Order: sequence, then structure tokens, then C-alpha cells
Amino acid sequence: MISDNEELIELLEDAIVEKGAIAHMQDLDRRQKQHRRAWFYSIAAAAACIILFFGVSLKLGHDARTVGYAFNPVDGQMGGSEITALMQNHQIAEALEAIIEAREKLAQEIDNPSSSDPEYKEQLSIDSQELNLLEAVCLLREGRYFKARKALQEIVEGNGAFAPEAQSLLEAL
Amino acid sequence: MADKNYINRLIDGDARAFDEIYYAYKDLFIGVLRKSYGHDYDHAIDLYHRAMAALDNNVRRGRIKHDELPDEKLKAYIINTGKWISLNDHRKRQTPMTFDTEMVFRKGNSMADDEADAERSEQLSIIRKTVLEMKMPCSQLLDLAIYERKTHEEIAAIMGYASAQSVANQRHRCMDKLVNFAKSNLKKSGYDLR
Repeated sequence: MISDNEELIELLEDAIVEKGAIAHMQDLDRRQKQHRRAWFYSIAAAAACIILFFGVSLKLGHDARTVGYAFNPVDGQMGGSEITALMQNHQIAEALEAIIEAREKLAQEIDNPSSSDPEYKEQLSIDSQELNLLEAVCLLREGRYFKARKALQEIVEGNGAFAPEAQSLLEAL
Repeated sequence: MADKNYINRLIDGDARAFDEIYYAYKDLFIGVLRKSYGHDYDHAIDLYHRAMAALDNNVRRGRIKHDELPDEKLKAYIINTGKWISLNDHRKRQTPMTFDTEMVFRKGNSMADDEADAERSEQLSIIRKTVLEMKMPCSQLLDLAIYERKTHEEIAAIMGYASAQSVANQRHRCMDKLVNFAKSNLKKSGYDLR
């Protein structure tokens, strides 16, 4: 039994503290819920971005491969080389390695040509441009959309012997 | 796991300690109470609030001393308080009632069931209800003064009183009003102050 005024005041103060504490804890719960909701939406948005990114990457890769394999490198000036043979056999990684080796040899020949004939030097330049186009097609066949696109744009901007082919590939992408 | 000394920090007036304790043991408490007594989430969270409020009040009243409750014991204290409140509620035919923080402190785990406790419990419930029915400005003023422990100067600035003395006078009037209201409510339920 409450014995006196003093005890009653103490109990009233206790009840005021309890009321305040409970209101504060309800506020903590609200903030925790808001925080968790915000965190959930961030994770959901990030997951959506990742899924979208992979979806788009898959689509672009597929488009690049389709265009790359539709292009026939044995047409025109490019028939019969070791590189085109590897490409026809779908040995794209090996074809890219062969392109690198061929480029190195060509660079040495351009620096120190075995003939001073201007037509010979012109042919070396065309061979170099051909390697660039074959490399771009290999990149397409590997599904590397952006790298292939960049390589094709450089060929077009160079306005060399294979600019029309590169332009046509870009338009197909 | 390193002891975070929650109770020492709470006693020393660290403003963040209460919130940290609240978040640290909330999920565990709710899990235990739901598993042990089959409470739904809302009931369990209500019990947690009341157990934490009891802890807060016992610290304010100086009933808990430094180093008396390292974190592991504090966890058990809060859970046992919640269990005691739950059983007390059940004993009162599942009518939610308030609790005497001093009884919580004294009894701890013990669940004595005697007429004196039942009567006191009912009186405390009436007192709690009286406080909840307080209106403005007294409810805000007393919250700021007693729960938030603001000075009269701070309360004057928050509530727009002319001076700290005005706040002191108003506080006195509010407490008188509250005491009279509580006595009236107690009398209506058959409890006269001796």
C-alpha cells in the first residue's frame, strides 16, 4: 500500500520515466525499421543494377559474336592466311596470338624494309591494316563488344583500305 | 567477447549506452520470450520495453551500482525481468499491468504471489494510467524535467517560458495537479492514501 505523499510522488516520477523511456524505445524501433528498409532497397537496387549489367553484357556479347561470325574473312584480300584459317576453325585465341606475332614481324619489316619499292611499302601498310581488321573480327567473335567497337572505329577513322569493311561491321552491331 | 561495460556507462550518464543496450539484447530477448511463453512479436516487444524501462529507472534511482552487472549478467537481468513481468501479467488474468520497479529489483527471479503484491500492482497500474492521461503543458514539462533531466533554463528555452523560475513554478503546479489526480483515481478504486 502506498504510505504517503512522498512515496506517491516517487511512484509518479517512476511512471513518468517509464513513459518517456517507452516513447524513446518506440522511436528507436521506428528508426531501426527505416534503416533496415533503406538498406533493403539499396541492396535491391544494387542487385537490379548487377542483373541489368549482366543482362546487357550478355546481349551485347551475343550481338558481337553474331556480327563477328557473319563476317567472312576469306573474302577479298584476306583469303588463305594462317590467321584466317585459325578463325575459320573457331580457334580465336590462337588467331589473336598469331595476329600479335604477325604484327611484330610486320613492324620490323616496316622499320627495315627489304625493298625500297613504294608499292612494297604500300603493301606492308595494307597488311598492317588487314591485321587490325582481323583482330577486330576476332574480338567480335569473342563477344568483347566494346573493345571490338573501339578497334573498328579506329579503322574507320584511319580511312585506310579496310575502312568500308569496318564501317559495315559497325553498322551491323 | 569483450565486455562493453554497458551498465557502468549507463550509470555514468553516457547518453548512447541505453540505445546500445536496447539494440544489443532486443532480438535475443524477443526470441527467448516468444520461445518460452509463446508470445507474439508485439507482446514480446512490449515486455522488452517495460523491462528496459525498469532497468533505466533502477539505474536512475541508484539501485544498481558500478560493476554489479557485467554484460552477461545484464543480459540475464533483462531477460529475467521480462519473464517476471510476463508471468505477473498472466497471473492477473492476462490483463497488462504495470510493475513496481523496486519489486522487479528485489524479486529478480522470484515469483511470489500474495495479496499485498497484487494490490500494489493494481495501484501502480492506476498511477501509470494517471501519468498517461496528463495533458499539455504538464506532460511535456514533466517529461523534460524528470525523464530527460533538462535544467529549468533548458526547459524555458524549449517551451518558451519567460525564465527558469517560471518553469520551476509551473513544474510545482503540474506535480500538485498530478498528485491530486492520482489520489482521486486511487480513491475511486478504493485505495486511500494513509
